[in-house]
Amino acid sequence: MKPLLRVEKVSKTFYGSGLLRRHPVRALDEVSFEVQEGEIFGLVGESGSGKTTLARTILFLAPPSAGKVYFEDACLNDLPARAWRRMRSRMQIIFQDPHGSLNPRMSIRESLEEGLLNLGVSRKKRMERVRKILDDVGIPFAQAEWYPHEFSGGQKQRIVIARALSMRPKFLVLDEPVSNLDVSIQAGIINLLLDLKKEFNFTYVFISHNLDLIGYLSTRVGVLKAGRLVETGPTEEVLTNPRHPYTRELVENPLSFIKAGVP
Amino acid sequence: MTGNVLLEINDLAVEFFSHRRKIHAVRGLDLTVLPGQFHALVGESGAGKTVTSFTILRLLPPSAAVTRGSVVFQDHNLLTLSEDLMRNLRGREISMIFQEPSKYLNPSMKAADQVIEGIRFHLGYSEKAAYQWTRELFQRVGLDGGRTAMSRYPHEFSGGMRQRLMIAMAVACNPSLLIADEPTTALDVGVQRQIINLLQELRGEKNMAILYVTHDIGVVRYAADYVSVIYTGRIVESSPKDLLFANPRHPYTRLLLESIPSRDKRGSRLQGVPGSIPNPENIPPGCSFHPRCPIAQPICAETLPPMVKIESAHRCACFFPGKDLGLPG
Repeated sequence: MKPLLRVEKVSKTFYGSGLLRRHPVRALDEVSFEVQEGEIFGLVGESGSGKTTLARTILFLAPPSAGKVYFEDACLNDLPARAWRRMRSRMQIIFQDPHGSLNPRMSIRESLEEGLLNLGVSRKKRMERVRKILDDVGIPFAQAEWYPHEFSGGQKQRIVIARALSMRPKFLVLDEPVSNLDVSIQAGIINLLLDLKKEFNFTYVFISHNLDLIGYLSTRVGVLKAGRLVETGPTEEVLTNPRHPYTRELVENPLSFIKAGVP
Repeated sequence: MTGNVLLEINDLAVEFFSHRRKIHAVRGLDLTVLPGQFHALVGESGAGKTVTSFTILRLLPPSAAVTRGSVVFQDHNLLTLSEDLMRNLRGREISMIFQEPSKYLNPSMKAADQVIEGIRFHLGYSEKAAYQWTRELFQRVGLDGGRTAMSRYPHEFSGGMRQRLMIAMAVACNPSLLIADEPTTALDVGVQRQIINLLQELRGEKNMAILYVTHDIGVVRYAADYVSVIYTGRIVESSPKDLLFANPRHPYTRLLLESIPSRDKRGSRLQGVPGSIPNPENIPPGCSFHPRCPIAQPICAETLPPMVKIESAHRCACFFPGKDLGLPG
């Protein structure tokens, strides 16, 4: 099987400004992995391990300092600007905080239409698509003219997912998409993501600090620690037989349900 | 009331008033904490967990009012205590730690001074004695007791260290009750465990009860003796931990446990709780959970189910406790 995404020795170094310039921070250190088409690749790690930087780097929201990223055979490093425009719509990202991801002064319809306008889709088609997508994520079309503040956190995250869907992507990076939500709401969003994946044959990179969630969702998993990918493999194998001491520590943590089973 | 109860909350109701709207945050809550107990108060956001803990310490904002009930701590009703007595009690007999320590620490005051301040106020220690005790506390909570850590400012600490500093402040006067409001939610799992273990050790050493407010079932199962599940300002189920996890009875508790993702549930759908938390201005009559409940009957929409005993200390407020929810799988 051909990988959809190939990350090759990607590093990212941040140089602070002013006095801090002398102390560059290596946020990612030669990270390499592949994501197969249709799989859910889970990325775990504690805060500061570089999870979000990796998400941003593979989508070139923050280009890597070194290393290459391939998406469907195309090397993203030397993609011309015009090709990027098309590529962007195929790769979408969803962040942890749905509130910060939506423009408070735009109605839901406007937010969902924005990307389509950019691609020059006709008005009629845009409305059709908005209607279909809201239906897909379980938001009534009657609420399309509402503003973000009129929705709950879980609903807002559904809207953010809808907006990502509006571009008909193939590949989604989900950066802690349910960490801000209550367990009961979480379950609904997770189910939604799994349903959408089935319907549209999406490929996900799912980033979380929650190993239980990754264990439930992902086909393969990568463990990030201090900017290095210390272990990768099929989820089941990594969780039953962790090789790296850090992974073992995560798996054996009594606060998780991996070892003890669910109540 | 028996001598063996540390804190007893009876039929507590708290309302918030804003823009002529009335919000029912706590609606007839009963809770009993025994000395030395690790009591987890579990619920989702908006359930009234934090309002309950702020009511105990009488730290509610002016827009809130206690409309009913009592909070009895060591035979004193805290709701009628004078402000002077209350001030002596806070930090000495009952102390509190929060989710975001940085919000509750003074950014312009050195770490040690923040701890010393409380010790001198409550225990009347001399400056030297207070410093000495603070130094021991620093070591006890795993902060370096040397000059350097003690003379640092909060912003120079990591999140975990700031929480340790808060704990040092909270236990400085050997309180008999520590209220911990989501103290580990913002921390990494590894650090979370260290903080919980530290709290457990201190609880053992000082026979201090902990009222641990959280939405994290993993933490509850790891650390608690006793669990109370709160929904829209009422306790719906309370039980010794092992009984609760072995045999959850309230539909809400059961759906909540079913919602937790885990490796064991791979390939099957997560249950979730249908619907969403009701608007606190307009809480459904009868059992407030009935609109979301898979086994609701007409009676549930009319009558408030009382807490009934299931077995020993396991109690549940449902007319049909443990009835088959008809879940797939």
